[in-house]
Amino acid sequence: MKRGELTTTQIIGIVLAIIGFVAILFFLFMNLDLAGFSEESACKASVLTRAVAPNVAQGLVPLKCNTKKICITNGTGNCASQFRGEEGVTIIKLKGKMNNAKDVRAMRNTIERISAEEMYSCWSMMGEGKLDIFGKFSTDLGIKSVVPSCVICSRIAIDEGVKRDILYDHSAGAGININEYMRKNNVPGKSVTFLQAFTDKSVSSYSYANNDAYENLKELNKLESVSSSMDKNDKEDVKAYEKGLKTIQVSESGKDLSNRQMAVVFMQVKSVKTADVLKNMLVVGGTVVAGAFMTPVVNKVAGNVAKKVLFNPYGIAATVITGTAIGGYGAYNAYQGQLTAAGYCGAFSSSDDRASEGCSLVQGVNYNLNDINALCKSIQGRP
Amino acid sequence: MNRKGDFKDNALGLILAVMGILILTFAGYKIYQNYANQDVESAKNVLNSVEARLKVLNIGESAKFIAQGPKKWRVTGWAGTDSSRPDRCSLGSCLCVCPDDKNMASSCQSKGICRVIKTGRVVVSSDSNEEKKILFADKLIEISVTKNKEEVIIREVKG
Repeated sequence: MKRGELTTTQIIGIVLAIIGFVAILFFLFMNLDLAGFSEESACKASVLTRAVAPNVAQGLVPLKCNTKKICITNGTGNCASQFRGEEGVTIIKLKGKMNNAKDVRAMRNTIERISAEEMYSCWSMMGEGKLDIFGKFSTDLGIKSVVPSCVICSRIAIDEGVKRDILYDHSAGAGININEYMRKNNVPGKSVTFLQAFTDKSVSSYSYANNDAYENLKELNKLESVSSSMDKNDKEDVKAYEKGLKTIQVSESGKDLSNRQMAVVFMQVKSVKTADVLKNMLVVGGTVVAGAFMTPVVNKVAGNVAKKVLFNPYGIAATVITGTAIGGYGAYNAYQGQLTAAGYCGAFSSSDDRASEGCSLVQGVNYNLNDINALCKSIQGRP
Repeated sequence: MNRKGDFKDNALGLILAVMGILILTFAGYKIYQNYANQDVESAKNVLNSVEARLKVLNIGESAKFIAQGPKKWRVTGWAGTDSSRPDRCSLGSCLCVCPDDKNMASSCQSKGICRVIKTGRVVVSSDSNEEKKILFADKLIEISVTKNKEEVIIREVKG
């Protein structure tokens, strides 16, 4: 063999190595581009990456969570008033005739199913409240962890062409009921219902807030909702936040809020006494099982007056609107106003040696600047 | 090995080592690309939203959308005849999202994102800000896009 000559074995080895190199490069090129993954997978991966990152690195990990856009239509519209010009809108067509009771029930079932699945999907993607998503870095970026930070998981819009009677038929006293759908139907691919998936296998029904609990709600707004170990500035921030929530009530009085669009929002707050929040939730009439909770269903009071209740992760009713002022909200309120919220309070899984705890919540809220900005002091992800 | 330059026994190892380094470098670059420049991505999203609406709007029409841009960045714009516009707007009127600065032209030239808009003027204002600036913070804001014959108006709507 001559000097410098390669043996056959070496040549084969080099060729195999080059082939392997090209294959790995191809794999890296195709798969490290996260746009190639589904958006849900990319979001979930970024949530996990941030939650387990060391404190100093958490701020470097952005949440790659694009807000999903869903348009529910009767087939002729495409939610132009809500999504005009926007890309990536999923169109779901309702099938059936308005004069056929069975068809109407099926259409309502479709809306209920989509709403429930989006709520569960959001909860699942964000770690079911057990991951510290907004982390220690939030203080470095000037975001206070004592007031809620949010991710808007999805926007669900109902096209103008879908008759209001589908949402709620006053004459028949019937309409969509997402809570009932979640109570009776299983999460796709699982053997538990949505309600059980949010709480526990033992839970098969909701708690309903009655008129006495409504009075309790009003009283609760006066309760200390913050941890006694909070410093004075943080307590002031929380009080200012709760005061800001009351502006939702004032600003919406008399308005016809018929934008027909709901946002599924995940919220998280830290530095709260989680035991107090869970206790408040029980007083309000919610369902609490080992840290997981569902807020109570708030019924109409006498006189067919609807209520609108928004919960924040402190567990206290943010605002309750009654009276004819929300008459314009009408059928749409039945779609959203009665929807319960699911949450969890407890210790986070974190990379920090010191255990931290907080409360998280997922709920459907009116896709409206005032509502969302009042509830969420910081928005993460890509709304 | 007893001859200078004779490395045939180590050729394979050397090639594998070089390949490994290249793979690691490429992987690191891809990971960095995914996680860096988030402010720029956020700014691009805002401009994409404005452009998408301008595409579908007719003259005289408006559309609103809720947006979140990078914190402490601003929306600004220049007419095609404005001599103070940044060089990257040399092709005409443009709309930019850039870090807030006293010298916005310089900020947009070096760090911001700009898009050329086919119109005479680009007007940017805010109902929520005394200085009429559209400045992004942690919260969502509502932006209105109006398409007129000779101008495009981008306005932050007071919530």
